[in-house]
Amino acid sequence: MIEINSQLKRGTLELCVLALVCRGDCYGYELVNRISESMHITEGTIYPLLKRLKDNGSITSYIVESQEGPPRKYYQITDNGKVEKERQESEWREFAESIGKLIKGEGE
Amino acid sequence: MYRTKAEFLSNLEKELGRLGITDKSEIIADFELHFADSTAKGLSDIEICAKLGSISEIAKQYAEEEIYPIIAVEKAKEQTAAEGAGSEEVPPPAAEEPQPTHFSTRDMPPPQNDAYADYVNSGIKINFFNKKSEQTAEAGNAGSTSAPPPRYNNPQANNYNNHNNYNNYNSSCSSFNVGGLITVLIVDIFVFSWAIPALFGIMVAFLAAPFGLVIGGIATMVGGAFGTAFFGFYSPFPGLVTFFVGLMILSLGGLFGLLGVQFVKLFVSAVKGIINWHGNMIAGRPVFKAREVSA
Repeated sequence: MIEINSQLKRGTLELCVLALVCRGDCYGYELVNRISESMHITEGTIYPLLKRLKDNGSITSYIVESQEGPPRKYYQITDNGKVEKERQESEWREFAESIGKLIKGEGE
Repeated sequence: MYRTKAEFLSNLEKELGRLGITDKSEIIADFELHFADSTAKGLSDIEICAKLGSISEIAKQYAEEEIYPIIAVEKAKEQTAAEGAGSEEVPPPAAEEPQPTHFSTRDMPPPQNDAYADYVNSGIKINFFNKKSEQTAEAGNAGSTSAPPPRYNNPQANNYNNHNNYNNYNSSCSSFNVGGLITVLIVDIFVFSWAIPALFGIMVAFLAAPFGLVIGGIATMVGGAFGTAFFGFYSPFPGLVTFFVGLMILSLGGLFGLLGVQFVKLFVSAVKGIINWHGNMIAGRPVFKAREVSA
């Protein structure tokens, strides 16, 4: 469990959600749980994010009725979403790399 | 902090409505599912509410999402334009471009645009500046030569300003509200023909009364004292009694004076409130300010 600066976290959260959904369809609560395994989040912030991703066409959702418990809303990645995830992932890697260099003091 | 699911959901719905979010039912359904799943996992309502975090924060994020599509479209256009020009290697504006999907720019502090700065510096708490900020933004959008501030020439910066202004409620995003305007006009007929004259009349009466009472009181006291001194105790009627009656009238005057001051304050705040309300109604902003809901 890592405590990260909340603003940084909010931005990276989107990439995390995209990456998780890329790996396979997930329902909302599952996403919340899997993200909170690796970072501390206020769970309510995932849902606005999911709605935005849905509105801009990165993901779609469908409802699955279940015998035990409530029906579940699954999220699925779209082709747009895959592109977006790749873009954000390379952006993140670039960012992490340059910060890493800066911290180590390379290239001076 | 909320204790039950019902309390959380109803307050969330209220807050979403206040921010003018349209598809509330879908959002509420998402949170209902979240409660159901969390409960199945053995969490109590209090724990779930605590983990979900502040309602105002959640609602605010939804409000940001609502205007996102506009920015996304603009951004897509810019990107295709940039790619078409073959400037993939060095995209100069990209670094400062407001990209909601980008992990850092969304959370930058709001820019101190001119209208906002004026508002902050004025020290006046009347929110009647939206007119001005709208006009300024329009001038910038049109690329007009009537001396718009330089930063408005950049359409990207404009996007960014709009986005943040939305959060500040000093909004150039808020639309002109026709229903609001009609309501304002109808209420104004009452306000100007009746309420303001009546309030003003009461105020003047409460300010005038103490003058009369104080002067009358002093005159009566002096009369009582003179009567006692020159014409004896019982002439024309007990002077000392007259004196105390005068004192009573005088203190009544003081009391009315205090009430009068209160009425002036009331009148001033009523006028301020009316002005504020006009601005909010016409701009289609929520009329009542949000109270911070969570502890």
